[in-house]
Amino acid sequence: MWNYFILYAVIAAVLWTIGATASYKKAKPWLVYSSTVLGLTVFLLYIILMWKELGRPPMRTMGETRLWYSFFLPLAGLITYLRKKYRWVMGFGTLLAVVFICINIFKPEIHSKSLMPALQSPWFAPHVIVYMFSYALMGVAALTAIYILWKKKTDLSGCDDLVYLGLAFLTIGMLFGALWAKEAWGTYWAWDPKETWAAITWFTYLVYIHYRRIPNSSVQKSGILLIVAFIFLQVCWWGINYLPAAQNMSMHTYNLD
Amino acid sequence: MWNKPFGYSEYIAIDAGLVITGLLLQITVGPIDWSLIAFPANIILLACFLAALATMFVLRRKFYFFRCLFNGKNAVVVLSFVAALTLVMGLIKQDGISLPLGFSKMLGAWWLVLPYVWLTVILGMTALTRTVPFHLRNIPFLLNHWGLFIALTGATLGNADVKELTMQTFPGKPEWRAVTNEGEVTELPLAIELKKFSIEEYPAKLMIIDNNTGNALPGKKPQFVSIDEKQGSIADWNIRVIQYLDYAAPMGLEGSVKFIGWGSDGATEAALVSTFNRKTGEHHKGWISCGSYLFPFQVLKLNKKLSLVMAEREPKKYSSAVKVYTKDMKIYEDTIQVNKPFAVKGWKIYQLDYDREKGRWSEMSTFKLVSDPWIPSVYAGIFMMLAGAIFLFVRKGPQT
Repeated sequence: MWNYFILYAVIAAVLWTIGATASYKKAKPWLVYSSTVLGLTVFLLYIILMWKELGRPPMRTMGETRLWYSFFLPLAGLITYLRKKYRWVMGFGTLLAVVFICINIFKPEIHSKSLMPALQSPWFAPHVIVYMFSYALMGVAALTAIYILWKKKTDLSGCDDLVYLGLAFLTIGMLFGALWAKEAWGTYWAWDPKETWAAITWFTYLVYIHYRRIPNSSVQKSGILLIVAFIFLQVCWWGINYLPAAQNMSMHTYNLD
Repeated sequence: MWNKPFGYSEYIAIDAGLVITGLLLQITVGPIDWSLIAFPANIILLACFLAALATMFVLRRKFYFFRCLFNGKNAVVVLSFVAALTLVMGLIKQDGISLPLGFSKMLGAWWLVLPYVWLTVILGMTALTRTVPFHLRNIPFLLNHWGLFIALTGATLGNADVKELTMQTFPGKPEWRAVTNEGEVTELPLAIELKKFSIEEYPAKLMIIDNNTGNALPGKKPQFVSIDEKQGSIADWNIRVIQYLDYAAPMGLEGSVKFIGWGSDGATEAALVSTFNRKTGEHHKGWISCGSYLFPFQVLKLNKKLSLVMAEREPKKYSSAVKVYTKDMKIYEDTIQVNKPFAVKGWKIYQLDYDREKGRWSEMSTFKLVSDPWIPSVYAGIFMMLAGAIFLFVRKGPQT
């Protein structure tokens, strides 16, 4: 199935780019929505076909989780555009999605891994999907923060909305993980590297939310905080596979062999 | 500094003071001994903690310091400290031995735990401000803040009462002894008899490996051929499975080993395969096997560098049919599977492992037994936070 990836990915990416360009040029909404939704449908079709071929949810390897990220990013961008009408947000979502598509093409870890018994659980799909959707929202928030810092703008309320929503899903993903861990291993939280970094990420976004509520808090500091939080998120997602402190310490590492 | 109203400097000073105090405690008293707060100490501590919070809340109008406890800037600072300290934990290997002062075992370090306790104090005080007087619109706020408070408090205080044991069982031999994480043998008020251990494995995978490095080909994207596909290709090699035996034993000498069907305990999987290299035109044919605890594995040498191997089969599903006998003469029966533990008499029994050496021939089943009396409080906190999170994305606003 991975052999066909580039075909679906290119079609989806082209459709998303049309949608993002249309939103930037303030074109008619039907063009923005239909193009983006069509792109999302194509990509979702690929994921579903892969799910059928594997006989298990495509969430086991890094490459597979990147698929979901590339799917949720333009979706997050579209939702934000629908609510806030920012001209550049769909472009960001598409850009980030394409980045992860390219990673899957140029640095794949594609050998299919059989699903180990610990992952055969109804918690598996919800836990991963909720997290990947949150990561997409936080990705768009981080890009928005970079844009606002770069253009020296002062209105971070768009970021706030994204982060509240992203944090909601991040929290749900984390708690699903805890409930699943209790059923699988008997402990809801073991402070293994993945969980530790999930906590670091969660707390950092909490700092952002609480800091933003202080009157006259600095837009610049908030923006930087958001970017730092997103870096922690990336470490949690895949960085721990390379972190010396995390070697051989976690059940969560996606095997890179 | 220390002029009212307090600002970031004062709050940072307080948290820094906690960290320094923690370091000093670490040096003088040593790491935290969590067993000290086992029941009933944890209940007493909880009562005192809640009483203290209630007292500070009631007296908040009289004392500025108590009012500070629910100040927004204080919240930002304590969350930052907690995030930063957890970051230290994330960057240092928690192996328990490498570094002094608790850096390698931060969960027992005063200088990590005191700021977390402080977080809980601020959390509780903040939650109290919107609990009394009670308004319906505060429900999302209360769910999020009390939820975390209850989960953190329950988890920390309850941690000392958690019992985690490992038990190895063999068919027909009821077992009531188990081993703690520290290696001590302990007796349980119940006995577990393994009736039968069952395991399903994924079909064997054929791979081409480099004889020196052991890495599978092709380098960046290792491929394999599943034995049930009967044929496939890896890199330049076409591979065909001529015959597959699920239960086999080797016959013959080195250089001319072949496998025959053999159904007894310890039988291995074996396949007669043929390979064809599309580039060089080489043909090879021979038996390969992943081996078992009785028989060594068998590879097919393709050339000086490469061999075709059958990898050990991966477990798909394993479970144990058990009978549990309790002291009050009751008998419970169930099948324990990964992700499906069996709860009995305050203990939850998890399928942990089996004899990996014997693989599909394993008769032994390893269970993990967990007793966690404070888990209801942690569940309560978790479900409150879940509800609070749902409000977050329904309301999406600063009211939460």
